[in-house]
Amino acid sequence: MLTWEYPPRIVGGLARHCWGLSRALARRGVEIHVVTLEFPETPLEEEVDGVKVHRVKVEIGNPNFLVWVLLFNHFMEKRSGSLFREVGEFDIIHVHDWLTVLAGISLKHTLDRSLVLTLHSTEMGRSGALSSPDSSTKDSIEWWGTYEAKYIITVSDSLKSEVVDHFKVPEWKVVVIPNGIDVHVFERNVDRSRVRARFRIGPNDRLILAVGRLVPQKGFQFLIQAIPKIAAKHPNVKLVMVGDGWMRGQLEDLIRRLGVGDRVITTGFISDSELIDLYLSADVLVVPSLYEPFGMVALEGMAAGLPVVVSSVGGLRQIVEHDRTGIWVYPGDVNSIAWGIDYVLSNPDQARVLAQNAKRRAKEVFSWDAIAERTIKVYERAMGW
Amino acid sequence: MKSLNKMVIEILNNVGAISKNRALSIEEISRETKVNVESLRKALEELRDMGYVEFITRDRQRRYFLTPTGILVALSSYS
Repeated sequence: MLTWEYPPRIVGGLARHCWGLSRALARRGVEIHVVTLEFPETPLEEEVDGVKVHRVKVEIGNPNFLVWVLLFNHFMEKRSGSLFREVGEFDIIHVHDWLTVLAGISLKHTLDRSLVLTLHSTEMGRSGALSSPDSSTKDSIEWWGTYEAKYIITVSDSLKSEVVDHFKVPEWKVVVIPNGIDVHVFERNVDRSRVRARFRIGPNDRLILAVGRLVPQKGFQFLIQAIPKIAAKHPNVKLVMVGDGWMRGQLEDLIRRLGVGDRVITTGFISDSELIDLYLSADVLVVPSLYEPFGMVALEGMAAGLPVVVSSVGGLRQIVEHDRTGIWVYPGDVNSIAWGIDYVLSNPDQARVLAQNAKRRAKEVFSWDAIAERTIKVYERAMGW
Repeated sequence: MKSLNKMVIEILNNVGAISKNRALSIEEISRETKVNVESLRKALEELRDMGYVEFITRDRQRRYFLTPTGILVALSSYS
């Protein structure tokens, strides 16, 4: 398995996906080698929960991002080639997103093995339009990956449609397998007052949680603008935003301009353990994304037993059923986001039912073991079994 | 984040300045980014305040590198 991010290198949902899937595959007896990129103070070689992790050092850099991607693909290919000689033949090469497609294609041809590509999003979706040469290049690499792969896995139906329409891929070649979740990690007791105090939240405050990279597509700018409207009805409302990203400064400026600095707390990156504590201590989780092929954060909130308010886009529409396992709001619509949050905060009995349904759905549909089983079936088909 | 600061952390990542032993001097960063040393000094100070960049002093010269958080923020546009 080739991926540019694997814990502790966690940029987005891709790292968590590869982490959950690889461990679940190992539990089912698959010998799995993850080839990924180096990260400070992390061993280059280690075995975690049965997964053999090989982190490559990118020995040559280049200021241009795309050239850097080419370079790290070269070093991944080199390490994978030496692994092939060290541990014996692999059956399948599984790559994630365009970032490792080039190494995957090369390995497919030199080792004569089937290539499986998981797409977690597309450049067209992320950028909204292929308006720059870099965007077009990424789009072309994605297309090449879809052409070379024996099977393509997408994490939602909406992403499958996007891939089939945009890359003109035959439908039979694309298999939808969602992200999974370890529900049991959310099954622990926390002292909500203590957790809240750590983030300057009072025990009686209404705590809204938002988690994700601070980039425009996540839509946090609209959530912040909704806060004054929600505060008019719920004076003790607070918003904790977990995550970091290049947009953090702009969002903090917006918080200052709106005068909601006493209500909105940005934490930056926090540990997984602290994040789970927050999930278990919040009143509502909001996922206000503009583009979200899956929406791992929504699934985490559901597994934690939180009522979730999500934009009705992409994979979020598939994970969350409106008014059954959560609430849909219009993407980029401040009034709609405020309405959704108010609905949950003002109807505690209904919020409890939504949360219970959501937790059950997370457990039944999105367990990593079930996801791994479906992935193995794709591997078997790719191998011609 | 200012576009200059965003560019600086992305380039620090791409050229591999991600640990103490691969830290770069301001002149080296200037060559990679094509940004003058004065503007760069200010950007690096701001990035240091944000926790994205650190420096070590070697041969009486400051050498800068990305922190683990800086790496993840630099790549946040691309995931």
